[in-house]
Amino acid sequence: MTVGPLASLQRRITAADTLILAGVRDAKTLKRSLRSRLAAAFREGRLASDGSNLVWHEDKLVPLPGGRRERVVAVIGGIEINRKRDPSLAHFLRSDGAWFDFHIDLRPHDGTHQQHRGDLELVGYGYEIRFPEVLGCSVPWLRFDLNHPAHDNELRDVRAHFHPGDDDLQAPSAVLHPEEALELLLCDLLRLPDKRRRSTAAL
Amino acid sequence: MLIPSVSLRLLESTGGPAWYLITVPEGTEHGVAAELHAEIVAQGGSACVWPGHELGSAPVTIMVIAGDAVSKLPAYLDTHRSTLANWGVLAFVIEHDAAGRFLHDAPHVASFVGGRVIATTAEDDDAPPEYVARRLNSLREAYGMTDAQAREAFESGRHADDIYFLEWMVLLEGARSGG
Repeated sequence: MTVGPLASLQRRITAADTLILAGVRDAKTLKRSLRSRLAAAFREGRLASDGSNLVWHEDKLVPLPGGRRERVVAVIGGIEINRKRDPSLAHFLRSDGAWFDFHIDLRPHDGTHQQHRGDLELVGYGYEIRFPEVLGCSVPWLRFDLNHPAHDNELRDVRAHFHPGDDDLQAPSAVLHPEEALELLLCDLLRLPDKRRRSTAAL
Repeated sequence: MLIPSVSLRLLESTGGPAWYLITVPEGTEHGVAAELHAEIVAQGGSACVWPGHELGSAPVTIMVIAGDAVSKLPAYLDTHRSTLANWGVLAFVIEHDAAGRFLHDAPHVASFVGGRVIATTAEDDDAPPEYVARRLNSLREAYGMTDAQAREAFESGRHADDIYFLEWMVLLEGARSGG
């Protein structure tokens, strides 16, 4: 099979070591780190409320197609699926009014990389942040997805991607560690200061 | 208040004497103290837990007041409050009902604690049943399927590549096993 440039990119960004959460062997450890960061963000004034109680998980053996059972961990930040972007549903609210939620599926690494046997590995995720009109962003929302390995998108070479405010538009993305993703949502997805934007525009 | 938030509150108080009364369900005193210790370390801080560690050996001292200590410690703490003040942040972990007696028997400690009384529980591994129920409802609505239809579709290979279906199966297993 011919390996196109995007397939090569896909292979690089979803290499095993980007999917494995080194040293994270159980959902409780991951949940604790995410809750800690959220609590700290509230204290720092980045979040309008302490949403750490919205991070929860289930860790179960799930029957897979073909009769096999596999341990799967679901870590959820929020409660309901919010495809209609309804702000009345539970979410994390930043102090600037942007709001987000997320969900992550993981499984134990199969031991292909011996040193990571037992560490959790990302199967998929979705992190979506919405920007209210008052923030003046030209993009109303942004979503980072990691699709299931067998999803159609992987065949189209974009398993890890982001949607810039349009479900039909996607661009390749790095695979985000949950702590990295949360940090992006909390801190770094801010508009550039006016001064910096002007200097960038002049380039 | 969840353990991460309690821990953060304690860490933010380091640098000066501050006493907290952390009230917990009966029988969870030692578990909560261990969780607080782990959480503080996870947040980059340092804490000691009594009994076990030397009192005052870290910026945050967590004292478990349980068993005999509930009746024996208040008078001692009240008398030695000046020494204890040098230990920086001091968090007494005590059962909810015993907390009232403790403050009554140690009036000076009570004045040191002031309004810094926080109720918490040990971290629960189980997902909140209400959250699971609401999430499952939203999955059913989003896909227009019952749980049985979703399970059948998933196990037969349809939607096996959809991470929402994987999550759906995990939540169903959780609901079936009671959390």
